[in-house]
Amino acid sequence: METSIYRGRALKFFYPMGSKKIKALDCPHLDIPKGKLIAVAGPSGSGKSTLLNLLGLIEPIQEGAMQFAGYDIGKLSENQKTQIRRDDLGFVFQDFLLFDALTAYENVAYFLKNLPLSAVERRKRVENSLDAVELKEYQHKRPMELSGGQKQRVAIARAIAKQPKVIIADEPTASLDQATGRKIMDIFLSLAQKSGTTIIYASHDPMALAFAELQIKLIDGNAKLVTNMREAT
Amino acid sequence: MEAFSITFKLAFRNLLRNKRRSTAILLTIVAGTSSLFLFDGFNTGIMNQYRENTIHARYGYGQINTKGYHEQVYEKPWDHWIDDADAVLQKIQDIPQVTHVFPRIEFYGLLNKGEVSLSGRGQGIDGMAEVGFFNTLNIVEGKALSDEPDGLVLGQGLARSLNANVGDRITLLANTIHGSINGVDLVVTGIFHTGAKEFDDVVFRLPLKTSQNLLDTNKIEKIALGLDQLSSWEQVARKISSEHANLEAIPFAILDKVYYQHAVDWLGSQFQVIKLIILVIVLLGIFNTVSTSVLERKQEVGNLRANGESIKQVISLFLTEGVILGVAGAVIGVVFTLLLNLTLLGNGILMPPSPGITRQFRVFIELQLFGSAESIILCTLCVMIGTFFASMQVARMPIGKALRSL
Repeated sequence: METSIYRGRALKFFYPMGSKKIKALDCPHLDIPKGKLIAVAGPSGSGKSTLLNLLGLIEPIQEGAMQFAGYDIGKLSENQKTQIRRDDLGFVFQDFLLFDALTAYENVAYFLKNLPLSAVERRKRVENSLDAVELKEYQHKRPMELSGGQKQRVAIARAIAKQPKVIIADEPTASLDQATGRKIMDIFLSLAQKSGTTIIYASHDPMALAFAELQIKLIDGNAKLVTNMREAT
Repeated sequence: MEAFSITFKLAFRNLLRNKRRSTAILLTIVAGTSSLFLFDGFNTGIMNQYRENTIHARYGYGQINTKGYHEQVYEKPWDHWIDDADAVLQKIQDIPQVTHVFPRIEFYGLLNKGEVSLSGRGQGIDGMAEVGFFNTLNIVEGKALSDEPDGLVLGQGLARSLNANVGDRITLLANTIHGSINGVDLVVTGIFHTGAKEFDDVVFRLPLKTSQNLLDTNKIEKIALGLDQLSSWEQVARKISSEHANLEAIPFAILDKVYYQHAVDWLGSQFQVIKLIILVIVLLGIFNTVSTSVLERKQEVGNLRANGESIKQVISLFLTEGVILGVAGAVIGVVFTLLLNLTLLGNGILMPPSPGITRQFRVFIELQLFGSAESIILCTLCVMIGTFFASMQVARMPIGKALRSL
């Protein structure tokens, strides 16, 4: 049985800088197992966001190969990648990126419109997701009426409502206080353990990193990838 | 349906949330729609004014003469004039859509005042009947021709050349239809100024009966018609052709083809070009404003794309916003123009003399239902085209780059 959700080989990623290319990531071997809470750690500029973007099918595969759930990402068309992002991936951004014009409920419901769900199923998913992040009573509030922690929880609810295979979170606790950050990490851990969702998050925060079941370390800012995987007991 | 509903909701609320941005786009659309609608009304006003001037200055809605008479030049034109005038006039007057009949004859004569003699084109008319209908003849001195058997009205240029004023006596000499010379003494009762110089410099009018006596004939050359409305012409013309085999009815647009029809065609083409220029300006204005606003939303687009929205869906969101703003702005533009026309433009616009006319005239903005619909549709289309191209740039951007934008 296949246990890796991602398999990467000789992955390299470059950013253009004038006429030159700057290497942002060099990852000879990467196997990410399913259903785990996985931290991506490293100093600023080490390529954490680049790796997340590659895993989220946001950046193209420039060199090497990567498989996601059996799909060879490098060979997929833009439409196929859009479909995978729609069905199998959820995102939680550091700046939340909620729709200010919509309520918490509507934010969570927005991306469900693309999934083949009945109105009842959709409503149930939104309510359950808001329930999971303990925000049901705030469902009619707009983002500007919510605290940073509440906004982050709405963003998580939006990601989990899709019931994706993987949730990718970039610095999910960066703008939160310790107590709220801990609450967010508890939600992630519980989600990975209960629903088998793979959660990959980048963080600088030792508290958040301590929650990880596995850790991918990017060191020296040279984008040299070292995996340091340890099973949580 | 639900997908559209939530997209519409997001689009609508986005517009309310970004008031500065939405107002800028809305004002561009209001200005564009208003310009188009106003311009359309102005065109219609000019065309209608020109048409009414033509009808009420000289020709009526059209004229009846014997078949082929209008097209040919005869050595003895009176041989082709209408016989049994009273019976024909009565029959035409009985057509329900005909409100007025104006029997006329035209001839050339020599006007003499003191030592000045000038040739001119005389029009024998029924002064009493014509005075109410031909109200744009524009009498600048004295009064229009009415029931005086020796009354004479002169074009302003002709009166100047003759040095004639109201009350002066003028002797008119002309050939009878039999070839002999005849003369009549007339009194100037009025001087007119239609604005068309070639008309005002040569034309004079006198009572029909007096002209018939002068030319020694009972015939009439033609009959100008007044109708209940413009659209009745075709019906009336058909009726006349069917009941009077030797007569034909010619509409004013053909009678005045050189000035009226050509001017209408020429102005129509010019208006289309100006309309196109307005549309291009509106399109560029909208594209510029929408581009700026879309570029401010790259991160939002990145978020949408990262979460599985296709390029088409992202463009649809922006297009929905564009259509809402387009329709709202266009409707506001139409209402604004209607209000403007009721207030500031209520008295029309004083225009300089048009081609062939030597006096100013006032144009009223005649706003049309079709014009409002056309303006709304064209401006909404402009917004959609502008939004499409502006949003396509951002929607096709690499997602990572969009997300990294501030």
